[in-house]
Formats: sequence, structure tokens, C-alpha cells
Amino acid sequence: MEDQIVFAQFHEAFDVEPRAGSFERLRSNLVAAETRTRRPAPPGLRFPGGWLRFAAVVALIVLAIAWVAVFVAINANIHRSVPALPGPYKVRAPGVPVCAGSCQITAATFVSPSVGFILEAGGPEACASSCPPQAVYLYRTLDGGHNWTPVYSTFLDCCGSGRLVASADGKQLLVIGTKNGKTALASNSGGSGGWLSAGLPSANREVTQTICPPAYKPGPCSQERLDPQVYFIDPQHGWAVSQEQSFNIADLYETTNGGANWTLTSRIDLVSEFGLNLSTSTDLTVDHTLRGQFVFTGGSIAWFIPPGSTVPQLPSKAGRPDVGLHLFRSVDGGITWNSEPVAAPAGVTPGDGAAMSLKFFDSRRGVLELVVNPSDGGLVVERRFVYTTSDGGTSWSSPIAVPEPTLYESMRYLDPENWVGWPYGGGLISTSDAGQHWHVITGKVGFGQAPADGAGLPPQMPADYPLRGQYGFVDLSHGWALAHQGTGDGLALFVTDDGGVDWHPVSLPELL
Amino acid sequence: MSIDRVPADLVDRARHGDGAAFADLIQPEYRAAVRLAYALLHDLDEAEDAVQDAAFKAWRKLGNLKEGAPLRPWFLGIVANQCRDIRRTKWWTTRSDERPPEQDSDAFDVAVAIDLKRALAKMPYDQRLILVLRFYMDMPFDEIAATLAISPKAARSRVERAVHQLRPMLRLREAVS
Repeated sequence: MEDQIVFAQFHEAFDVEPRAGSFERLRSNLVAAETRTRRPAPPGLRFPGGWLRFAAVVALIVLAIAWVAVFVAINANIHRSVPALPGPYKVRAPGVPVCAGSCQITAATFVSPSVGFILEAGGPEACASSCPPQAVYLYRTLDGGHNWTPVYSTFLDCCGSGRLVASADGKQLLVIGTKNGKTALASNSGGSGGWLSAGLPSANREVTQTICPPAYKPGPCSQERLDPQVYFIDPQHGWAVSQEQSFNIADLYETTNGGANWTLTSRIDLVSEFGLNLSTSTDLTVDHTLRGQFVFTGGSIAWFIPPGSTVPQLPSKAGRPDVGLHLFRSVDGGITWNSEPVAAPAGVTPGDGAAMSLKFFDSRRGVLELVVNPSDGGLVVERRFVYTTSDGGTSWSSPIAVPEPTLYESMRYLDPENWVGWPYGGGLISTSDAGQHWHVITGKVGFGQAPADGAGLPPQMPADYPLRGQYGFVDLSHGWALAHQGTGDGLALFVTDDGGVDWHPVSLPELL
Repeated sequence: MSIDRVPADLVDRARHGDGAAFADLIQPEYRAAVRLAYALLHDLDEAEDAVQDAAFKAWRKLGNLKEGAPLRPWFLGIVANQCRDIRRTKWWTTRSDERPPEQDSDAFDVAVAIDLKRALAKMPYDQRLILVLRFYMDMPFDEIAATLAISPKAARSRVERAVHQLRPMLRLREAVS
């Protein structure tokens, strides 16, 4: 009798059915992965040849173990290889494009001229309309891109963008992506050498907003998830900022173990602290997303770069400019914030300038990049300026003019003195003395031609340009760039060892 | 023991890399797998993800399935292990126990469900699993034994032990109602 009660209670508590289409999604993933799947091992080993054959097999196993031991010893403390789907892949010859319509390279980074990583999603199903999670592979090179080894694989949304955060020595890594639309983390920095899968704090997972088309263009409304901002200064130490459902409160979480655990450190009132009111409008076309950018330097210092004029601005704290050049700084871990005005460059109207990026190298030294787009009509000529600080942002230097504007992105700040940028017109600009003198390389760098139909390129982007966000420098001489090559939409990886004068294609792995 | 045997041709094709064949193979068990994962994780999103990951693991391990052996307990065992791994790595899973179940029925006793989930959340994973297999998946002892790779006698005694652990909560509910 008691068993019957237990049966009934379990069925009442957990009765659930798989959602419509979920099995079909699994089936399509299995079929898509079909060509990548290794042929399974036979059910059991048999030794029809008797003890002689058995001894041969044992000898082979001993040799294999010895080989693995040597490999582990050589690669100690680098990464444990735990590919979930060690599917076949092929390393293309240098300069042979990969991923021509069949895979995506979602992130790349180098930590030294020889050690680099790429994150690649494979298979012909990439970017299918349903975009189910699929296997994403992390490859590592230890020889500047000549050879690649898969070191990790996980399931992430096929069209989700990925990010890699590597420690300076390349021994710890963090993969940031999305799975089923939610931010997903995987790190090998937990101390065990293995990989840890994690997510963001549960309280932030389901914040949504309703977006409806404007009245003149009727149509159905849609629900959008409000994604948290995620910022890591190394593979272990990071922050997540997420709005609550009221939109005007942001929760600030901190992790020191790659996302395994999160601690709520502050609930930020966006109205009183930043003058941002994101909830009061009754117009459903208004986007309630928290714009702007949080930047963390470690310790208890935090910064917020406010958005432009796209969200309603409220009359704010006394002395705070409503529009113009100012940042917000917290010295108590994000609990209280103060406005930090930045002097506009001579001849620039404060309202024409906006902070492009803010980067700190340690608790005191940092750079702030400003972009200026004059709003007085006529041909818009963008200008860039850089401010430096050596006292944690309490005071900033005079603005340093960048000789040529860089396209879409901020420059790469390798350290307080060495900076590199990719100008709109091609070539490279760099400085080794914090902008006092500039080295300018003009003209094309020889990546080849963009796809004939311009596929994958933002409007007006010149052909001879790396993919957006996909270039970097480890020092002023050694850099890398992912770029289109040839007339197809395949990608190639280029490296330079002379500061960007010459670029050489290197090999890339491609999932089959 | 009423466990269907595996169609040999599907197994053979799946072992040779045929994804559609493997999908056909596990389709009859998919509903049970999702229900098991949901009962262990208490989150339908997580449950479907866990079954997907488990399916890929099962595909790779298909060579370990003995010829003529039943698929269901073998596959559900892999799903259960996948759920165990997920619970180890995701700290927030215990919080989701507080949510009312996603069910819409007049006769449904929400309080019973929440109490049961809370009680299960406090139990060791192995005890929780064996209770779910017995009382939610309606498995006979011999099928539980096949899933957990233990003897039917051990399965019975473990179920009895787990029920003994759960009984104080059930008695409390009966007294309240």
C-alpha cells in the first residue's frame, strides 16, 4: 500500500514529456556528426593466435603507454586532452583556405609567437536555421600554427560567437560561448588539469523583454533574452553583470574559479548610479538592454563606460554631465559609483565623443580610447584619441591623437607603451612609446581578395582586412590575423614576425 | 524480465557510423531517458541536453554493448551517469528544486511534489536514482539491476533502504493531509 503512495507521488511530482521536436533535434545532430564519428571499437578483444598473439598485443599496449607517458611529460601542465568527439580532422597546407561553407572559426588567440588556440565549429549543419548545439573543438598549436592538436571539445550553439581567455603562459584557458542561448563556460583552470563546464548564476538566466515592431509596421511581438555581460581578466577571475526583470537593477557577480561558483557582490541601481532609466517607457519597441560596458581591473576597482544617447537619460547626481565624456568608477567592488569626467580633446564637442574601450594592465596603469564622430553634417571623418593613466584612473593624460582611425575596433594595447592598430585604409600603425611616435605601414598586406559577393564582410569593409576581432599581436613584431583568402569564403591564418610588413599563411585544421 | 532485445542490423549500422541508425535505435527509449533525466535534474532544458550528450556517449560506447543485450537499461545507465556529472558541476541545481513542477492539473498536489523534491535533493545521488528508477520509471527489480549493473537482490535491498530513508517525509505528508 505504501509503495502505491510512493508510486503516485513520484508520478505527480515528475510527470513530464519531452518537448515536441526535441528528438528530431537529437536525430539531426547524430546524423550531422555521422561523418565525424570514429568507428567504435569491436565488442571485445580475441586472441585466436594463442599466447604469442596475446604477448604481441601486450607489448603494443606497453609501448603505447610509454609513448603517452613521454607525451604527458613533455606537455606537463599545458592541457589535458579530453575531446568529447575525437572526430577526424585534417590540417590544411599553409595558405589553403578552410571552412568554405562547412565550418566556422569562432575565436582565435595567440599567447606567444608559437603557442596559439582556435575554436572551431564543424560540419555542414553550421548555421542551420534551428542552430542546435553542436560539437565545437578547441585546437592548440605549439609551433606557430604548423601543427594543431585538438585539446577539448564541447557542445555549443552552432552560430554562437565564442571567446577565448588564455593565461599569459597559455597553460590555462577559458572558453565562453552559448548553449541553447544561455552563456556557457568551460575552463581548465580548476586546478585539477581537467575541464570544468559551468554557467552563470541561475538568478540571471531567464531575464527577458518583449520587443514589438513599430506601429507603422505591424507584426508579432517577440521575446528576447537579456544576456549578461561577462568579463574575465584571466581564465579564473571574472565578473557577470545581469539585469533583473525590472530592467533598472543590475546584479554584479564575481567568480575566482572559472565560473564554478559565483558570489553576488552588488545590486546596482542603474537610475541612481548611472542615470539610466531602462524600464519606464511604455513603448514596446524600446530596447531595455543595458548598454555600456563594465570593465574590471581586479581587486575592488570597477569601471562603467556609459552608453551613448540611445537610452533615456535622467537628470542625475549634482555635477554629473548628462551627455559627454565621463566614466563611472567604483572603488568598493561595485557597491557605489562616482562619475569621472574626461576632458574632451581641443576642438571636440563633448557630445561628439564616446569611449571606445578601456583597458587596465594592472591596478594603476591603463588606457582609454576615444572615438570622435563630428555630428555637424558633411563627410564624417572619424578620429581617435588615447588617454593614459598611471594612478588607477584618478587623473588622465592629455589626449594623444592616433594618426589614422582604425576600422570598427579599438587598437590592441599590448602593454602601457606598445600599441598596434589596423587602419581603415589598410596597413598597420604601431607605437612603442605610448603614442609619442608612430610607425605607419601603408598599403595592402597581401591577404588576397574578399569573396566575390562580399559574404561575411561588413559593409564598406576593405577586402584586405582580417575578420572582425580576429587579429592580434603578442609583441610589436609577432602578430596573427584570420582573413578571407582567394575568391571563396574560406579562411586562412596569417602570421607576421616583422611587425606587419610581411604576412605568411600557415596551416589550419578543418573538421571533416 | 520483459526487456526488448536490440535489432542487430541497426546496431551493426550504428557501430559503423550510421547516425540515423543509432537515432532509430534509441528512439524507443528517448521518452524514458528524458523523464529519467528530468527526475534527476528537475529542469527540462537540462534534461534534454543531458540526454543529447548521453546519446553521443552511448554511440561511441556502442561497441561495449554485448550482443543480444537489452538496450534500454544500458542506455538509461549512461543517461543517469551523465546526470550525475551535471549535478557535480552545476552549483545552482539545488536551487531549482524550489520551483513548482511544470504541470497543469486540478488534482495535482503541488505541496507534495515540492516536499518530495526537497527530500530527494537531500538524499545521496545513488539513492535518489534508485528511487526514481523504481517509482517513477516503474522498473522491475531485474531491470533496475541491469541498469545499475548489480544483482536483482541488491536492487531490491537498495530500494527498500532508500524508501526507509524517504519514509519520514511521506509519513509527515500523510499526517498533514
